[in-house]
This record gives sequence, structure tokens and C-alpha cells, in this order.
Amino acid sequence: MIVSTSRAAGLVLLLSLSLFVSPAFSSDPPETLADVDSVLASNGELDGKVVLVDFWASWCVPCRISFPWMKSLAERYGEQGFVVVAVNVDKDHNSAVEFLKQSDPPFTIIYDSTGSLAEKYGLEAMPTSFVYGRDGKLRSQHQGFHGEDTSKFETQIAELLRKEAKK
Amino acid sequence: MKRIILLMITALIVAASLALGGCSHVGVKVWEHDILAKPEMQLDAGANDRALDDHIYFSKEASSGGRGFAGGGCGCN
Repeated sequence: MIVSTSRAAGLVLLLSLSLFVSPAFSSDPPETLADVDSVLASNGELDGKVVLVDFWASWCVPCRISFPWMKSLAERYGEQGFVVVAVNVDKDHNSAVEFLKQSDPPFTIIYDSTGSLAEKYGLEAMPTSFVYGRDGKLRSQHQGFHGEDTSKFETQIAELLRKEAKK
Repeated sequence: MKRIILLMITALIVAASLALGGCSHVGVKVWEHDILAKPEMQLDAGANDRALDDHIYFSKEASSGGRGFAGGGCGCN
């Protein structure tokens, strides 16, 4: 009886510890675009494209600053098969709409007010963006938005578009 | 007696592990900051309040420099 109680206690301890450390493992973003693709109205819209998935919110100042840059990227590289999908995590939908009215981005916006996509991607900073290649596989991840890193980031995207150009 | 001690240890382990597990999801996730991210929600949002508090604190404690600017806290700057 005592032994089984101790075993049960040990099991509970292990389970609790696994709960305790679980956030450390939840930070791995999905390797494919399946989660984002399933939210988009027209499935297959992202097939064969280099996709930048960007998590943003209207209350996040760096996210707001990053919009003109993403807008310019989408306009310059759109024809080569570059797509931006901006995932909004505002709880207050109106705040997001208000901001979008001002910035008028030419790319797709997904609303994730419950944070389910954000949870799946295990965000650790705002904004965070993920770059997927034409094959839909994750290539890189960027946390925050730093003006001095934009040229490096852009070079990566341009290289992806060139290397994986459609045959 | 031995059995009681064992049971107590077991209960302690169970309680401790549950308490430990309970802390695994404490805190606001980065995408949930929302209102907390607004400037007025910062601890030092009021510049005037902060300046007054600092002035009083530095005068009383002779701790000029305690806010991080130059000075060693001697109160002589």
C-alpha cells in the first residue's frame, strides 16, 4: 500500500515537473505553413510562395514601426512570389482595424484574438516573424524589429526568392 | 509510526509537486500584453510624479545618483 502510494506520488511529481518545464518546449514554431494556411479563406494561396508570417498587435510600437517596411517588401517582391501574412493578436478588434485604416497594408491580415496561433508558434517577443520557403518549410525566425537589421533580413528574403525561383 | 512518516512524506511530495506544477503558466504571454503595454500603465508613467519622488528621495537619503545617472550616491553632486 505504502509502496503504491509512493509510486503514485512519484508519478504526480514527474507529471508536475513535466508541466513545469513544458513552456520551454512550446517555443518551437511549426515547421510548415499548415496552421496559417488553414485559417486563410482561400486554401493554397501560399503554395509555392516565400511567405513572411508576422505576429503583430496595435499596442506594440515596434510592430507598428515595422509595417511600412513590410509594406514596401510586399510591393517590391510581390511579383517574384513573396507574400506577407500578418497575424494580429489584438484582443480588441477595433484597435487593429483603426491601425489598419491608417497604414492600409497591401497584404493579408489574419485575426488571432484568442492567441491560438500565437500559442502554437510559442512567441517570446513582439513582433516575431517567420520566413517560409517556397516548399512551405520554415527557413528563419526573427524576434523584435530593429531598423539596423532590416537590410540583412531583406537580403535573406531576396536570396530565398532567387535560389528557390520557380522553374 | 514508520507508515505515518511515509504517508506524510508522500503527502508533502504530492503537495510540493502540485504547487510546482501550478506555477508553470503564471504570467502574461507576450501577445497578451494589450492594455499593460500602454504608456500610462508603466510604473513610471507620470514624469512629474517621478521627478518629485526622486527629489524627495534624494534629499532625504542623500542618495543622488541612485536612479542610474552619474554620481556615486554620496549626495555631493
